[in-house]
Amino acid sequence: MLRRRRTISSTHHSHPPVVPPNEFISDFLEWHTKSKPGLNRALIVFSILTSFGLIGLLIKIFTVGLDNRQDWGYVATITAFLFSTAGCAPFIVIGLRMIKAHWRRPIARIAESYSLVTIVTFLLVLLLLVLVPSSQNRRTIWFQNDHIGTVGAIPFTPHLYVAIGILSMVLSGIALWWTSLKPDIQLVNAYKKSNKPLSNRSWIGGLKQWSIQKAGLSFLGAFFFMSMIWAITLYSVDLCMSLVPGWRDAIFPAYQTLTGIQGGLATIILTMYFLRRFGGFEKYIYMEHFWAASKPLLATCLLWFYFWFSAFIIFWYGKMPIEQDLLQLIMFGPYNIAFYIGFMFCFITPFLILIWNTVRKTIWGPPLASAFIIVGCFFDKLRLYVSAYSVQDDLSLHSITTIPPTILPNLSDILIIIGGISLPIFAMLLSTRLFPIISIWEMADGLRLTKVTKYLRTELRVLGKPD
Amino acid sequence: MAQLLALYKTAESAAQSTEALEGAGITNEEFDILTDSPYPEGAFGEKEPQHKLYVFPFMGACIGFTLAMIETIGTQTAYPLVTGGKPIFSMPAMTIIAYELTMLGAIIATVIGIFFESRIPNPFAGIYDERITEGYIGITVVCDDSKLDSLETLLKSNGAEDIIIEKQS
Amino acid sequence: MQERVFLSHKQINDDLLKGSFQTPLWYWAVMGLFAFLTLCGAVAFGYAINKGLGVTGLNRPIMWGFFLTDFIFWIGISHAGVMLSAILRLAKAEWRRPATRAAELLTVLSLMVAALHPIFHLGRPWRFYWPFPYDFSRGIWPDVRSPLVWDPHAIFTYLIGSTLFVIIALIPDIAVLRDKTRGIAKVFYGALAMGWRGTPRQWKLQIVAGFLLSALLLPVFVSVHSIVSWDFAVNIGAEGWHVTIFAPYFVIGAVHSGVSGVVTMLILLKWMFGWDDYIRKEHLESLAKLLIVIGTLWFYFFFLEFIFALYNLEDQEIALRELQAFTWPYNLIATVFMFFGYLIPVPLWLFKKVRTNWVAMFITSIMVNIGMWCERFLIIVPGLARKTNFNFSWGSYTPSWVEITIIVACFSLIFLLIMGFAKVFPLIPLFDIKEGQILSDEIQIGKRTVPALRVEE
Repeated sequence: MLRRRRTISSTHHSHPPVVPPNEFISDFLEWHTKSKPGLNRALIVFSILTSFGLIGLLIKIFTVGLDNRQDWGYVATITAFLFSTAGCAPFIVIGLRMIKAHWRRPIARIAESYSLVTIVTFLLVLLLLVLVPSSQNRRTIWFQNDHIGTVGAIPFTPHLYVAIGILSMVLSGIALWWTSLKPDIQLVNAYKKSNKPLSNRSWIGGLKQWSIQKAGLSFLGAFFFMSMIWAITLYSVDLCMSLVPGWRDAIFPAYQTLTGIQGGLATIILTMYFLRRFGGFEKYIYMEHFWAASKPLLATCLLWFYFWFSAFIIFWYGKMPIEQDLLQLIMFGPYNIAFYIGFMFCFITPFLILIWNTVRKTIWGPPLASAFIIVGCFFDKLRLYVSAYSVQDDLSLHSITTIPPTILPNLSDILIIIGGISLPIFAMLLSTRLFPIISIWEMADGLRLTKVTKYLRTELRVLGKPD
Repeated sequence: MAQLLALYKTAESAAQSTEALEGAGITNEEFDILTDSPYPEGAFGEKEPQHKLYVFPFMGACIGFTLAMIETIGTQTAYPLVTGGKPIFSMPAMTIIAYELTMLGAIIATVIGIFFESRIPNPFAGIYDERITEGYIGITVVCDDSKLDSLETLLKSNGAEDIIIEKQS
Repeated sequence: MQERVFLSHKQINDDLLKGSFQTPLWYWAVMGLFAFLTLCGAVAFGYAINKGLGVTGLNRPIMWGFFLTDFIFWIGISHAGVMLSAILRLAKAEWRRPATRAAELLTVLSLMVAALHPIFHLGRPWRFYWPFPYDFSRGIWPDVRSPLVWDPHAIFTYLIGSTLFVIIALIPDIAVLRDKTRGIAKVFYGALAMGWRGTPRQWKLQIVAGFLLSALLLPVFVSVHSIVSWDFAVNIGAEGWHVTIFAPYFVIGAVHSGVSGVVTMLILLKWMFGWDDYIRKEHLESLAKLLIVIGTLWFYFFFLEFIFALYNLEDQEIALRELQAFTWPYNLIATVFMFFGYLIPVPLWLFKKVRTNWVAMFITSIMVNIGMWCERFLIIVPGLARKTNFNFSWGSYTPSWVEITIIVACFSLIFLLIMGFAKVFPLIPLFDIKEGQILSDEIQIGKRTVPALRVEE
C-alpha cells in the first residue's frame, strides 16, 4: 500500500501531502509490479466486449458488404466517437505541457496511452473510405470539378489524403506516447532487474538525453496538434458533410475538433477517477486535479453550445429551403431524439453540474459531468453520421430531395457499438497492466518542484517555475 | 473606547505582533490588518472573511432575464410583425437578447455586491494612516481606554514603528 | 528566462505614478496633436451631418465602407482586455500583471469609439437611439429578430461590464493616489476611493471580484463579436457573408488584433514612462507565444472560411473571390492582409530573438493590426460590390476625405483618452505588481535556485 505522509494544515489552507520524489518512485514501482487480479478480471471482460465489436464488423461485411452507405452509419458514428474521445485525449496533455500546468503530471501518461486506440480507428476509417465516392464532380474541399476544369488536378481524392492525414495523427500520437514512456520503461526494468528486448538499454538518463526528450515531446506535441486538427477536418468533411448534398457548414470541422477536445478531457477525467478509486492513487490524484480539470471542461461545454448555435442561427435565420431541409435532417427530423440527448448531455447537464464551484471542488462532480458528456458525445455523433450516411441522393445535386427515415441499429451495429465503447477501456486497462500508467519522471519532476513552507503565520504551497 | 493603529515596516514584525496580541487575549475578531496589497489569507492570523457575494450574480441574472423576456415578448406582442418568415416569438433571437441582459444583470449585481460586501463607500471607515499605501502594514485594535497603555507597549516591543490612537467619545 | 526585480512598495508607487505627478513637455505636444486630429474628425462629421452621406464614398451597392470596417476593427481591439485580464487571471498566469489595466482600458475606450461608428454612417445620425425600445406612446418597437438590435444589447453589456471591471480594480490604486496627493486632488481621489483601507475583507473581495467578473465577462466577450459577425452572416443577399464560421472567425481575429494592440501599447508605455522594471522581456515573450497560438488558430479559421466559400462552386462566389484576390485594389489589400496579418509576424515570432526584441515586437504588432484592418475591409466591401447577380448594379468604392478624417480622428481619440487616463490614474496596477512580489519565492534544487510561486488554494 502507498505510505501516507502527515499533512500539516493551517487555519486557512489544507494542503495535500507533498511526497519526496524517491518515496513516490518506490511506492509506484511497487504498485506497478505487483499482481492485480482485479485488473486482470476487468481485462478479460473488456477484451470479450471489444471482440463483440470485431464480430459485429465481420457480420456486417459478410452480410451487407460495402455497397450501401446506409448500412454503415453506425460504424462511422463509433469511429467518430472514438476520435472524439480517446483519439483527442493526447491533445489535452500537449496543451497542458505547453502552458506548464503542474496538474497535468498524474494524467499525462493516461492521455498519451489513449493514442493506441487511434490504430483501430485508422483501420475503421480505411474501411469507411471504400464507401466514399471519388470527389470528382461533387462538392468537396478538393475542388475536382469539370465546371472549373480541375478534374484530376489532385489525384486520388479524398481517399489518399484522408488516410495520410489520419495516419499522421496516429503515428505522432504513438511516437509521443513512446517518447514519454522511454525513461519509465528503463526504470521499471531496472526495478524488476529485467533484460527484456523492450528494456531500451539506450536510455541512461543523461542530461543530454533529457534535453532531447523534452525537445522531442515539444516537437511531437506540436505535430500531433496540427495533424489532429487536420485529421478531424478531413474526417468530418469527407466522411460526413460532403456525403449530403447542400450541406455547406464552414464551422463543422472546428465544431468536431471542439467536441473532440471536450470528449478527450472528459475521457481523461473519468479515467483519473477510476484510477484513483480502484488503483489506490488518492495520494497522487486528489481534489485539486479534478478542480483544475473542471474549469476547461466547463469552458468546452459552453464552447460546444457556442459552436452549435453559430451554425444553427445562420441556417435558421435565412429560411432558405436547402438549409431548412438540412436542419430537419441533422437536428429536428428523424434523429431529433439523438440531437436532444446530445444537446442535454453535452451542454445543459454538465453546465448545470459544473457551474457550482462547490461541485467543481469535489472528487465526484467533474467525473459525473464527464460521464454525461461522453454519452452525449455518442448521441451527437449518431445524429450527424447516421443521418449523413442515410442520404441516398445523387451527390452532385444542390440539395437533398427527401429526408430519409430513421435508421435504427441492427444486431451487428449494436455489437459494433458495444465493441467500440469497450475498446478504449480495454486499451487503458492493457496499458495499465503492461506500462506505468502514471508518468514517473514527470511526477518526480513535479514533486521536486513542490514544497509546503511556512509564510508568516500560514502555510502555502510553493511551485517551482524553472522556465 | 479607543481605536489604535500600529504601523510596521515589515510583514514579519506585523505577524509577530498579531501573535503577541492573541497571547494577550485579543482575539482575531478584535484586530484588523491594513495593507496596500493582498497578502495570502491567514498570513497575519486574521479572521477569515465571510461573504455572500455569490448570491448577487444569481439575483442579477434573474432580474436581467426577466427584463429580457419583458422586452422580447412584450415588444413583439405589442407590435407583432412577421419579418423574414420567422415566428413572432423566435426562440433563437430571444435567446440572444435574453443572454445579453442576463449577463448584464449578473455583472451589475456583482458590482453592487462587491461594494456592499466591501463595506464601501464608507468615508468614516475607521482609523487609517497614509503610510499604509507606502508599504507599511497597519494593525488596528478597538479596545477600552484602560488597555491602551499595555497594548501600546506590547505592540512597540514587537516592532511597531509608530502607534496612532483615536479616542472615541 | 525570468528576470525578477524586487522593489520596495514606495519605489513601485513612485515609478508607476510618474505619469500622474510629472508632465514632460512632449506629453503636451502629443496631446495637442491628438486633440487637433480629433477636432478635425468632429468637424468632418459635422460637415457630413450638414451635407448628408453623399460626401462620403458610400453609394449603392456599397453602403457599408470604412465606417463599418473601423467599427469591427475597434470591436476587435476591445477583445484584448478580456483576453489578457480575464482569461489570464482565471488561469493564474503571473505574467499578466503589468498588462491587465492597459488591456482593460483599451477595451473600454475602443468599445466607446466603436459605438460611435454606427452613428457616423447613419443617414440621420440624430435617430441613433431607434434600436432601443423606448417608444411606449406610439407602440412602435424595434424588431428583436434583427442582428442590428442584438448589436446594441451586446455592445452596451460589454461596455458596461468592462467599465465596471476597470473601476473595481482601480479602487485600491485610487487609494494610493488619495494618500499621495493634497488639496483638490486629494478630495477628488478620496471621493473615488470611497473609504478604501485595505482590510483583508476588502482584498479578498477584490480577488473574488476579479475572478467572478472575469468569468462573467468571458462569455460576453465571445458573444459581442459573434453578434457583430451575425450582422453579416445571417444575410443571404451579399456574397461571401453567409457562412457559419463567421462568429468564431471574427472572435479569434479580434483576439489576434486586440492582443497585438496591447503589445504595441505596452511597448509604448515602457518607452514613454521608463517602466523597464515592470514591463520586461518575459512579458513580451509570453505575449508573443500567446500570439503565435492565437494567430495560427485564426489562420485555421480563415482557411476554413475560404475553402468553404468556394465549396459550392457557385459563380457569384467565385467571382467575388477573384475580385478579392486578383483585382486592383483589392488584390493589394489582400496581399497586405495576408502578409502583415500572419505570414510575416507569426513565423518571425517563432524565434526567441524576435520575441525578446522590443523594436521587432513593436513593428510586428502594428503590422498585425494593419493586416487585420485590411481583412475587415475585404470582408465587407467586395461582398457588397458584387452583391447582386446583375453586373450592371455592381459598384466600386473610394473613401472620401470625410471618412479618412473621421477614421484618423478615432485613432487619435483613443490615444488622447489613454494619455488622459495616464495623467489621472496609473496604467499598471500597483497592487497587482506588489502582490506578484509577495507571492514570489525560490526553491533550491541541487546547485540551482529555481524561481517559484506561492500558491493559495
